[in-house]
Amino acid sequence: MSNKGYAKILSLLILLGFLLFIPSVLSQYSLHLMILVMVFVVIATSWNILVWTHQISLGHAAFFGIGAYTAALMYNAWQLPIYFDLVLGGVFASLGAILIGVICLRMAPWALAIATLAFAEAVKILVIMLPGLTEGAEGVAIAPLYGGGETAKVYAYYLVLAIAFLTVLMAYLLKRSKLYYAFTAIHDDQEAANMLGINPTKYKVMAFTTSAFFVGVVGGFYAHYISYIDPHGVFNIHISVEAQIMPLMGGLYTVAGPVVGAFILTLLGEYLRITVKTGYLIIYGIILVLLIFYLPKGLVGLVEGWTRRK
Amino acid sequence: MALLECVRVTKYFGGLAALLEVDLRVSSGEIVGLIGPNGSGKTTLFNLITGLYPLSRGTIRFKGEEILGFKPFQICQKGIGRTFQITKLFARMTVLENVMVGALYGKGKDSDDLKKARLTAEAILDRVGLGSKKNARVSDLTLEDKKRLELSKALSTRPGLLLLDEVMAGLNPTEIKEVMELIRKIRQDGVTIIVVEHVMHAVMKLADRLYVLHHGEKIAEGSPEEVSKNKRVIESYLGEEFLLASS
Repeated sequence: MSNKGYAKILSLLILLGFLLFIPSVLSQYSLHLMILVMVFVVIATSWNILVWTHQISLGHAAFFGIGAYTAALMYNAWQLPIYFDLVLGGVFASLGAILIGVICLRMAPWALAIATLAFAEAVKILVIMLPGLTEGAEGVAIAPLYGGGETAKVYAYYLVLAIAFLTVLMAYLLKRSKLYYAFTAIHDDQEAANMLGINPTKYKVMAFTTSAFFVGVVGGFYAHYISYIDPHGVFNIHISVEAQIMPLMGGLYTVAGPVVGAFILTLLGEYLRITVKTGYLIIYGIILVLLIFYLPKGLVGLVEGWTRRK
Repeated sequence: MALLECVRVTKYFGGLAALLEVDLRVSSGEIVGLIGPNGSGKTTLFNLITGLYPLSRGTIRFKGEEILGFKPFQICQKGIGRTFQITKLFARMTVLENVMVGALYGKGKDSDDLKKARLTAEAILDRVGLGSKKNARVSDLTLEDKKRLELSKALSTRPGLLLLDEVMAGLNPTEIKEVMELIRKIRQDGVTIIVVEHVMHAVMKLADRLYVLHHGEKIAEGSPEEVSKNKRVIESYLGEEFLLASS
């Protein structure tokens, strides 16, 4: 392995050690923020995988919400072990993705984007209209994760860190596998990929379901962590928007980009919310526009450019 | 038995017949030329053979098996490879990675083994003369290299039948000579080839037999010598100048 490779592994180990260590020094509020960062690391990384196949989703909130509702309703009905709930949340979100896939994946990327946006809204309305099953607009209360309290938050942090780690690891391994060649070929020229033996529909559905699965899992975690969910919260378009902006800002098509984007934008958004009393979203929006305008390859692209020049 | 057999192949786009009742037979080991003016249906025939368009009428058999209704990726895995007139390269990949795609998913299927696919791709790149540029980006390649890469991608799927769509267009005489030599070498490796080409002197030297299309209909077939003397072909495509130049 090259020196560069060793340096990369060493810095990753340091980062992981740091993330494992910080609960002992952070306040409850800061720990809560870190938990949100990890939730968005999962959402942004999963969304980015979809882009590898040139598919754009404006409806990732649907998978987050499906995961959250599945976990909450399953837990309230049968008190299943939490890990089981989370996996079920992922499975149900994947089933939702297959449903979209069968109907919409032959569409052009922009048409698919609108279809996914409509899908997310449709699922939200369905959840509101079926109070017998979902408790409707009132939302669902669920017992606090690990019994609640300060220690529970630390456990919750480690749990979401593990989910985020697995998601990023999956993206990393995917990028080094045979599948990445199919995904990139489909992204660059679907017709040419088809002529080289790649079934585009199969691999696009695969990317969609994988992406939805991890978002569903973290949606399930969120339901347990926050201990109360409602349709307007977990199917919020804000989640779908952040899912795209974070990879875009961090660096599309890279593994590190969505992680960097999730860290910076979650923390920046919170900082502005506290420091700017009114209209903080305007400043947040301006910063985003400037960053995307001046850094089209994202922050990771900027750093890669620097290191290449050296 | 013919390797490829097109029987009364017809394709309508709306009311327009792009191909009408075209018959074509290609035997193993042949190089067959497909010529005709622009819009005569040559590329459409390639698109029908490779499953990009469905046929309106007729049938296509490959190794005796009817391949109607198969998707392009299935036809590729049966052993038909093709290049595109306007190269279709994967811009975010290196030259080597472009070729690895076909090695991983084509007929040869180097299965899940990336190392094996890499070796296959390197061998193909060496064969077509792109070995030294394997780590280059597609955007850094010259037109000739892009054509060579397009050919390498098709070869990486290990085709038994290769359809080449104007691989010599835009190249200078020296480059054309090199590509002709390359096509002959590919035939020697046991690959049957159909070439669509407008560079007449090249296709006349290269092909064992020619088919001539005009307004979607086959107007002539035979050896290059026979075809070049065919009155209808001269009138509709080659022109008197070709006859004078070749005599």
